[in-house]
Parts: sequence; C-alpha cells; structure tokens
Amino acid sequence: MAQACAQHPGVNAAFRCEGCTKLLCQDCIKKGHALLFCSQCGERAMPLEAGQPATVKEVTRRQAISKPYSFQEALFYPFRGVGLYMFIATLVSLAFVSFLLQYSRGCYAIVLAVGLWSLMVGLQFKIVRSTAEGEDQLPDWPEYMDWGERLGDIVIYLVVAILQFFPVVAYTLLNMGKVLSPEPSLLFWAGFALFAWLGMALGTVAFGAAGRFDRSSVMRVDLHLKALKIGGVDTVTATNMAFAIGISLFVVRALLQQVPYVGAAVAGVLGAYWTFTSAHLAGVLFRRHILELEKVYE
Amino acid sequence: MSEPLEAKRTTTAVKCEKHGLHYNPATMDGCVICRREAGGGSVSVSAPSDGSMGKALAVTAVLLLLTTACLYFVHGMVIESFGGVPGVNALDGGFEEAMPESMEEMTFPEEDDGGPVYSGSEGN
Repeated sequence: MAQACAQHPGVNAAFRCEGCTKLLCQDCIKKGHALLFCSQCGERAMPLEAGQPATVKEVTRRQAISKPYSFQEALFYPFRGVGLYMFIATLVSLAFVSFLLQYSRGCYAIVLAVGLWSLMVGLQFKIVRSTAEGEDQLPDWPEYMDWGERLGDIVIYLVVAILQFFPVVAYTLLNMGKVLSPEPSLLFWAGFALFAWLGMALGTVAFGAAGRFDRSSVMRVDLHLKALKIGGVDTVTATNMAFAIGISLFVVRALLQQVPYVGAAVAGVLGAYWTFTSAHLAGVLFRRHILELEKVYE
Repeated sequence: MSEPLEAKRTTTAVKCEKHGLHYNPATMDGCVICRREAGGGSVSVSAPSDGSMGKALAVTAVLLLLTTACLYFVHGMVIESFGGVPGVNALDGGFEEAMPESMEEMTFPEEDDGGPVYSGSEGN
C-alpha cells in the first residue's frame, strides 16, 4: 500500500529521509550535485522501493524516458526543431550525389555516394540511441572521419537488413512458381505481405538493439524474439507505422516512376523521411521498455 | 523557531560494507544497490502503451490487406507490361500457346539438315 508524504498527505511518498526518517514525495526532495536530499533536514533521501532512482543522474534519465510521447508524435520527428534543417540538408545532399552519379564520370562520385550513405547509416544508429535515451530531436551527424566506425555501422546495417528481408526472401524463393505465374495469386501476395511485416518487426527490434546496446547484440535473434514479446502492443504499433511508410514509399515510387524529376523528387523525400522515422520508431519502442530490455540485452 | 538539526535525527544511518553507501537499518534492509541486487528492481516506468493489442492487430490486418491488394495489382501490371499473354510461363509449359506467329511460321524441312528455314527467306 502506498504511503503518504509527511508534508503532503494527498501525495504518495517516494523517498524516506535517512536523517529525520520522514516520508517524502518528489516535491520534498532537492537535488544535489549527484545525490538526492531531504528538503527539510538536508540529509540524504533514499527511495522507498528498490529500482527507483536514487541519484540525480538516474532521476534525470528516468524523467526523460518516462515522459509522455506517443507514436503519432514520432511521425513529426524529422521536422522538429533543428531537425527540419537537417532533413532539408539531407535531401539536398542526396539530390547532389544522385546527380553526380547519373551525369558525371569517374569514381569520385561513387566515393562521395558511399561516404554519404555510410553517414546516413551512422545517423540512423545515433537516432535510435538518442531517442531511446529520451531525445525527441535529431542528433548531430556522426563523425565523418571515423572510418572504422562508419565501416562497422555498414556491416551491422547489412546484418539488420538480412534479418529484415530473410523471411520474405525465403518465402518468395519457396514459392517462385507463383511469382512467375501469368495469373497473380492473391493468396501468395497475402503471404508475402505477412512475411514482409514479420521481417519488419524483427528488423525494427534488431535495429533498436544495435543502436541502443552493444553492436554485436544484433546477431542475437533469440534476444530479439524476447524483445518482441516485451514490446507487446508497442512492437506491433511501431512495426505497423514503419511498414505503412515503407509500403507507401514503394507504391509512390511505382506510380511516379514514369514522371521525370517530380517522381524522383517525391520518392527522395519519402525515402529520407522513412530513413529518419523508422530509426526513431525503433528508438521510441526501446525507450518505452528500456528497463526491461536492459535486462535482456545487457 | 525550528529545532536544532541534531534533535531532529531520530535514527543513525549505517554504512553498507559492500557498497559504501549509507542507509537507515530501521527502515531498510540494505543500501539501495543491495536492495536492487536482491531482485526488487523491476519497477516499471515505461510510458503507457498506445491503445490495446486488439486495436493494433486490427490495424495490422487492414495494413496487410491493403498491401496484398497493392502487390496483386502491381503483379497484374507487370504481367500486362510484358504483353499480357496468357500462358507465358516456362514452368507451366505454356510456351506453345505464347509462341509468336513469326516462330510458328518456322519450318523444318525433312530432307535438309542445314537448320531451320524461315518463311520468306527461301531466296537468300
């Protein structure tokens, strides 16, 4: 049963003073440099329950990860604060590199493209990490001269991609006759959509684990399955949103393929949006269940 | 006038030998790290989930239906773009039905083993 604060009888106590032994609510403690103290006698305030934050650092982190933030709000992530400028800068950079790749000769365009894409991959991992720790705005670009980290990010990203696309590729290979059939099969494409969705769920969790925890955890499919279960309804919601944006991107690209410039521009904007938002959704999922997921992955 | 600080103190904190943290033995079993290690650290602070599982799965079902329809439609478009000829499937053995007229006109003379002779190319 919850105990009431000594000063505020209508408020549940969360701490007890080690000096005066009074029960304290959040308003009755003051933050020191590192520890929490009783605002009345100045002695250290200790949490009533194990697992509750006992230091200023823990309290700050707990406030950041437990603040209300819905998945709907996550859809506006790339346009929030300085993120909008970063989003525009990304679009301009992608357009410039695409132009160079199409109209220039020589390997410098390819080198530039690989460099930019590796930065995008690194940025996605930073988005996952910062989001999981309570940030709602885009982080800074990763270190572009840290070649080792960039290469590591690409390798981990490829592993995430393999996990994400393995179910649907395996399903397709097992049903190749249906793909080559002159008559489209509704049942086959329903199965295709289902396996694509399952792959998206696995990829989202693997992406979150690689971004938030140790990079090698991306290989632990067994832990990902546990994380899927822990996430519960949030896993389904995050996957739905990432899947819907991905499918929209696919449809728009298919429809606007024949429209020069406009089609490429719209597809580019949607692609950049999906890049940022899918990473953010994985981060939001991990933020909501970070305490349980820490026990799984650490 | 408030009481002196010393008078307010009714208990004495002790120092945890293992972690060096102070705690009140009258109210707590050990320091905060000891209690956390004892397995009580499962207090959840997760933000509340958006909606129920049933609602989320219903959205998933709608999404999968729409995706299926899209893919089915795109598959049909791709087949159309390749001519829309029924039976164009090497795996089904529908090659003969899909054979263009120019290939049907190809003749194989019985006496000549020099290869196929195309109609209209006799004079060459």
